[in-house]
Amino acid sequence: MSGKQPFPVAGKRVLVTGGTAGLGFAMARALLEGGARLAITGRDEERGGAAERNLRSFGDCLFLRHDAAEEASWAEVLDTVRHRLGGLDAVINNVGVNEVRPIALTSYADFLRLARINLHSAWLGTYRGGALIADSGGGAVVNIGSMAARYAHPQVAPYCTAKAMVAGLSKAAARHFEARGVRVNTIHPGIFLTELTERTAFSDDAARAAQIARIPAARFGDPAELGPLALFLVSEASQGLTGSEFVADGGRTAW
Amino acid sequence: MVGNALLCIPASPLREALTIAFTGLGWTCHHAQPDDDGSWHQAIAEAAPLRAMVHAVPPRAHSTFPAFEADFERVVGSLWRAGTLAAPAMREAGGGAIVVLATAEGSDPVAAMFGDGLKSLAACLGVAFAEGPAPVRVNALAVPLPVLRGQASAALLARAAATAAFLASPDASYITATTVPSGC
Repeated sequence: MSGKQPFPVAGKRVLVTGGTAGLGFAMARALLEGGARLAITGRDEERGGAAERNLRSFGDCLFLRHDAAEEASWAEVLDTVRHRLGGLDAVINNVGVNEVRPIALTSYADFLRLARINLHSAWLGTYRGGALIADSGGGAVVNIGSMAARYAHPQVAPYCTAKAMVAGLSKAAARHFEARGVRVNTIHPGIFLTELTERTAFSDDAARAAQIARIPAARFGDPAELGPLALFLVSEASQGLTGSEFVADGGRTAW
Repeated sequence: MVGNALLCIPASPLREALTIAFTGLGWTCHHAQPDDDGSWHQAIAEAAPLRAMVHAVPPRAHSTFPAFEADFERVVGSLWRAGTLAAPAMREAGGGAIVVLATAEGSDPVAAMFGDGLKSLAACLGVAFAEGPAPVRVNALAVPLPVLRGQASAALLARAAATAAFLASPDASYITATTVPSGC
């Protein structure tokens, strides 16, 4: 990034869950390039260490091992962030997992496991992270939803359900935190070319072509394209926005 | 195509209103408690041949993570458990309908969040079971939180129940995988 930044984040202390790969990594990089100080989290220590080394070439970044669906793990991570960064200005709840499987082959245990990763992690990040942000003087929570929140797909029903609730969670939390200076918004990404979507969205070339045919922009998203939106929502430029939803899907859910 | 209907609803004035509305149209109502973990097989078997199911489970107020987790299982998890068992049972019976009462937007924001999940899951179930000679239609009915809790006036409860009964009936045969306003 060069020149004057429209959405200044220099010096902001930001936590990005699932920041070791995919969209989380791309947003982390954009924030670092904007001068933010970052903690990224993930469950895989080896992958986290590699991501931390990579991201350090862009700025001040710290990897913390974290199971975002566990309340105790949040207490540890936020305690470390408080000590290492001196507080928190923003959290991006980016953790997400999708599995493509018909409803008939999805057990209740599967349903609950996917809900914990996609929704419960965001609940914890929003309320626990939001509380630390409020104590640090206010800031922003950004929850990563999905375009799957906006349509019904029986092959990914637990994912649709959880992501639909993430948007509602942001609205509920926006009201909860409104008097404490914490804004809570949701980004609904469409299909971006990440490891997750490569694994779940395209069974073959024909499926890939069919997906593109349904996107008005006629292409998948580049993870780097989500960075400016994350910067905007973390920065004071979006001060008037809370409880809002931002769809970044090339127009896929518009028709 | 009326027959046996299973009402997955805690005992409340809403359940009474739904029972009156469905019985008045010729349905035979059976009851299941959303809190009865693991009882879904039995409840659905007892209501065979099943033609309709109504799910109406109000979220509780909560401020802790364990309470949120428990409410997720009770409200949304119960729809997964009941819906994934009831829809195939209805297919075997020749088709049917599931009506999910979900808190409307503009209500209590936490309840609305649960409503979002219920609407999404209802739509997914609706798409999954829409095709074939014995389709199962699945729709959400948006209601204010006091209706879902059975704390609204008798007139409002009756209005919501009448709309639910319409959605369950063959008159709504081309309506599936959507959210319908209750007029409450």
